[in-house]
Amino acid sequence: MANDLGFIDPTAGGGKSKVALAPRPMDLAGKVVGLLDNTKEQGTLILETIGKALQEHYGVARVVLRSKEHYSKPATAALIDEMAQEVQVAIAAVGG
Amino acid sequence: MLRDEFNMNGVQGTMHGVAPLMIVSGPYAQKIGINGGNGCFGPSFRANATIGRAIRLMMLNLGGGIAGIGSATIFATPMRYTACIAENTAQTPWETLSVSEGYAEIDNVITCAMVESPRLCFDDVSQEPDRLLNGVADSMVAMGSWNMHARSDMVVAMGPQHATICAKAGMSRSDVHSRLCRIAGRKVRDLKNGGNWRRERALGFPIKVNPDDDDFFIPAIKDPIDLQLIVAGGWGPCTAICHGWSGGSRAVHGIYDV
Repeated sequence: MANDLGFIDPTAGGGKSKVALAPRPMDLAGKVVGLLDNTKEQGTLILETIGKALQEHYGVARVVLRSKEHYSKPATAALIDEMAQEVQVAIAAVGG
Repeated sequence: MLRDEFNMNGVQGTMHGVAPLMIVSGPYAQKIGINGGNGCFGPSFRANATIGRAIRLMMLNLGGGIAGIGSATIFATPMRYTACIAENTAQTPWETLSVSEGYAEIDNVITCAMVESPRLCFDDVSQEPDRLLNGVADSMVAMGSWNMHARSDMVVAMGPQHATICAKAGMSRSDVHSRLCRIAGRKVRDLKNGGNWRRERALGFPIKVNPDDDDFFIPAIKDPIDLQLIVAGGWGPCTAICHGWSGGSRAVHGIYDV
């Protein structure tokens, strides 16, 4: 009875593309690290603390702190491009 | 639902448990049997179940909003099985939500709002609007509701019996809407005692508030456009209140093609 039902795959065979991860550096010394604040409360405080620790303990040269427009919305392409031009490693704040 | 202001992507990933509730108006909704009367939020109505479920399957299988994978939702909500209703146009004393939005009665309109499961306000005591609406407003202001801590949409589905009590006392839909916007809220003193209160959240409201004044009244509805007031459900002394989300989703509406 159920065997003669035709099923249509709504994904139409899509969803198979993969995004290659950026290579992870083994050493942070001398690097510029980006910190992306998702705007949830205290995210800035956490990221600033992390940034300071990375400079003091891992030799990070400089940190660049940027904020998204709103935690529920993706960072704009312009913001991502801007950070990608300036930093070698980025950390994003998640959660609330 | 894919309009930017509805922020479907945000809801797909959120920790909260909200779903896009479709309120369907117009002759086509009646033709295909979308129920807005008895049991409209429950099972047993094919159109309500099928349309809402189809939308959810797309959000899961095409949108990737799978709990624990693409979605951080803590509880989700039973509204994620289906969330599709009509208004009870047979028993409402007022114009529909779509008419209040500027459409004609013959237009086939969907209004969509990101909301939680309904919280039911049962009141078989009130026979006049003041007391009745006080009770409805109480259901709109939970400490743990994002409506108290952000600008957020809300759906209030007045049962036709409750709506008729208000209408017989001379209140229009607009009168009830205004009253609820005005009285549904809590003082800072109460909000500090539990739930999601943070001073900086209050300072982020699109209305002027003083979070350092314990007697300051914070309304649940920050902009009247955010309260979607409808008449739905069967005849009986109950109103359903669906709280909203915090993440910047604005209800959307439009005419659909058939």
